[in-house]
Amino acid sequence: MSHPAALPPAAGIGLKPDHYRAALETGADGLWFEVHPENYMVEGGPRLAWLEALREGRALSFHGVGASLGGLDPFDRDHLSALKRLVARFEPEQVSEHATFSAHGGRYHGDLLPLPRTGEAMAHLAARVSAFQEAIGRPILIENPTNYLPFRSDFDEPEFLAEVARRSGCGLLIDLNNIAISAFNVGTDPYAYLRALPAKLVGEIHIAGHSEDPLLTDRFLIDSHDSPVGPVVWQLLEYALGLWGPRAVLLERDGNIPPFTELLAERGEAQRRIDQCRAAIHDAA
Amino acid sequence: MTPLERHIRLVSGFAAQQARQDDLAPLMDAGAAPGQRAFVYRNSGILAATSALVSNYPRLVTLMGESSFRDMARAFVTRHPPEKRSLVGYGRALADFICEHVDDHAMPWLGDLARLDRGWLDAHLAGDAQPIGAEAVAHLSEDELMAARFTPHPSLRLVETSFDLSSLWRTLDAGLAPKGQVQIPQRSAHHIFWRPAHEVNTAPLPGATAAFLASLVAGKPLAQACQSALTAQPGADLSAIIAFTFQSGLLTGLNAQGEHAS
Repeated sequence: MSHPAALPPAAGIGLKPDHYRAALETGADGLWFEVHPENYMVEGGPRLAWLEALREGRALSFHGVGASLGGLDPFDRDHLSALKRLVARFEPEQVSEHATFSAHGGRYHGDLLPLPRTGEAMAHLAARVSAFQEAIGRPILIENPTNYLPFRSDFDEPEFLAEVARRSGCGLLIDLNNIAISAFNVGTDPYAYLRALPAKLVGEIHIAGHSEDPLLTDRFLIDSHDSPVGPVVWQLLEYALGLWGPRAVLLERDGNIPPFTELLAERGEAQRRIDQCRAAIHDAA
Repeated sequence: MTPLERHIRLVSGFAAQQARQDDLAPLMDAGAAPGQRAFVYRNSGILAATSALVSNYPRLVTLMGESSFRDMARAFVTRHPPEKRSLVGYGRALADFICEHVDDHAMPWLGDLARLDRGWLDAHLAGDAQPIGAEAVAHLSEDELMAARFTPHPSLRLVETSFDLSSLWRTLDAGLAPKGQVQIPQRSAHHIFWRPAHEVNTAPLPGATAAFLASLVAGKPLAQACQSALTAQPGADLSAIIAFTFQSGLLTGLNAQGEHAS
């Protein structure tokens, strides 16, 4: 299994087709990009050409949504072979997926559906992550899910994820927005959550905005990625960087997508916090 | 069935609108009820699939308005849920779905518009290939040329519609919604979509040219393609059709007798 170079401990942006040209032309220092490989599982055409051009000058991360690592269906052969082709072509610094399932019985849900945090699910997910890593020939990171309902569970989430990582050899992608939403929706302590994670497992951090449910309003938060990062998530980022040191931080935006310059400015807020974290470590030494 | 299998079956069933939120109750912490919150596990997937359709059928969205399009898209998603793990090309059955529901929208040509949007998308996502020019056949005798078969560009799509949407397409393709009542002539029309380089080209196509290209795409020799053109339109200008074919970059390989496709 190959171990490619890691992402830089800098802030990146989730790449959107509307931003291809601006993303190619920006001179932002240390900027890297993340894409869903599923959006590039095509025969040819402009989007692959854009990604190729962008990749030449920037670090790249593949953040998959279609593997359904926690699912019961066998891995989808078309998906897996398309992913392998993309990994071979673009040689991304990192490949990540989710600690969820997204398909069942031949139907793709287009969503990241929750697993129960039981011993059975832990063993199942660890085995599937191992098999997936074996299939693509690389270690991956798995991302913590958003919690919307209090499913019966035998483990706290950090313990569950760390044990899956220990058994499979994968790392963790920690989405702070998911943790903030989970804290609100199901009453977990986000700071205790971060403290419970082994720092050495954390290979990447995600930040994003969220929104209130259209019907339940301020009683229920949705992981919509359609607004700027809020104060709660920025605080969690500062806290997490303080615990773990500088890390690759990705700004995700999937709805109400602003001009690239606005995202770049927001990404600058993340970069500033990474720089402060690095300076604090330097001062302490 | 193990507890994990039961969990996945129930959550998946709820997401797929085949179970009620109360069915999830046994999966919850003691005393917790799923309630309205459970719907996030259904609505997020529907939103992802309908958003993919918005991306995949942009001119249909411009015509209908995004809100109306999303209403229709939700009905489509329920009937034809995604199977592939990538939503990039999702919605191939949309044109037929629209035609099946013509009583609901009273636009008998709307399915044809979806076919044109689809033709564009398929050309956009197709493989890359280098076109050949007329010089590729310059060394052939006339008999050899007439017997030659060609490899079409992988992006080449021919779409035949029952209504002539050429004018409406031009408006929508410029990102504009048509003003006032839309008049659509009910007569057969042909469109071609292809991507010889970076971007998709599109053009309305005379029937003779469409028949000629369809014949080449089907792997027929040039003589037969010419015959098809003449059948579609007696007296069609074959040399102009052949020149258009090469100049537009519609072919990527030649298989003359005794030669392998290049």
